[in-house]
Amino acid sequence: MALGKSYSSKLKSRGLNASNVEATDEGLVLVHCTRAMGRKRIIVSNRTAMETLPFSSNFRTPSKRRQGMRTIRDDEKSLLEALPEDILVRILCCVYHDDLKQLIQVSKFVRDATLVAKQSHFAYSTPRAKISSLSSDLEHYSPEAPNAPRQQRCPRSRISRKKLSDISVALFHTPEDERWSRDGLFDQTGV
Amino acid sequence: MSMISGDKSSTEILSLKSSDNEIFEVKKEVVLESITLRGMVEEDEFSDTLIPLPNVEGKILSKIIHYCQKHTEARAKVNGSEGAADSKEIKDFDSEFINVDDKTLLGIILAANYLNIKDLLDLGCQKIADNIKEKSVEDVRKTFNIKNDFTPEEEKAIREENLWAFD
Repeated sequence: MALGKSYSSKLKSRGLNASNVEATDEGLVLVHCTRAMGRKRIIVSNRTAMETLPFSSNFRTPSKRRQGMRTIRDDEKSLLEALPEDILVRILCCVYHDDLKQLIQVSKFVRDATLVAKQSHFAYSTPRAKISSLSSDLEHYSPEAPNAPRQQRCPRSRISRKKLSDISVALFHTPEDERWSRDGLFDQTGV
Repeated sequence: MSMISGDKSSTEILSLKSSDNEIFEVKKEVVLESITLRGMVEEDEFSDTLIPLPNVEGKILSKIIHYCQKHTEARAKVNGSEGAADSKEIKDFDSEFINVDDKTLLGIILAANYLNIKDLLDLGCQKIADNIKEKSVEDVRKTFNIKNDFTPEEEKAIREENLWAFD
């Protein structure tokens, strides 16, 4: 596994042990770094174009998901996974609060975007009322209290209309009403 | 180039070139719907030449231009005091416009992001969000063909951890 002195020294200078390195057929170098990055594989290429890699989406690092255009490959069938993370976050900001619980379990990529959306958007927005999901049961379900007595919009007055007319005075009345109302008032007040 | 009202920007035509070398001649006011292109045009770099868009293919660019044209016309109508009646027309147009297959939708969203056309980007994102809403985990995976890359242990841990976190 001859990598050349210059390359091995480059790896050493980056703190990588050359014995953890293996070459592939495409002339790429796979480095197994078990120190800082855990068991993640770091692909160090001696070619400039990373897009020539025939690897699956698992090897894409977050830095590759930049804002802007990505080419859509034929083997990418998933619409969501073809999107850059910032656009997926934007999409997830349009879903409901309740959907976050499901989304966080879909896949690692979706979970990361969901967490970002939760911190940047949902932390500052109010969940929708649960009533909207039960719209078909509106007549049987009350959001305030299930068994509360129904209150009328206009509470019924305890004073009958006749009694009310005896004690009430019309403040603004037409000339036709003025005669009888004034007489009524003088009778009651004794003026 | 004929000038009707004397306003150069309303009749000036710009050329946009897609990644597959399709050329579209578009009114400047329509091009200005894109913040990205507005920056390029205002810097006067492309006043007489083609604006190359190597990231947008012809089929998608054609749709985007159609969207921008429609919205530019609608905005002009509102400014001409024809009322908000056209907003229903625009809404109907938008819902029909975005009713496309996944690949086209993806292309539109990516292009709208690159060209910085906020309304179109929001429209596309909302369309996808509507397909995500109120779906279970499995339904989301099926709808979008996503592979579950969690191990069973990771899944269990996430479920337990988030039982309280999202209430």
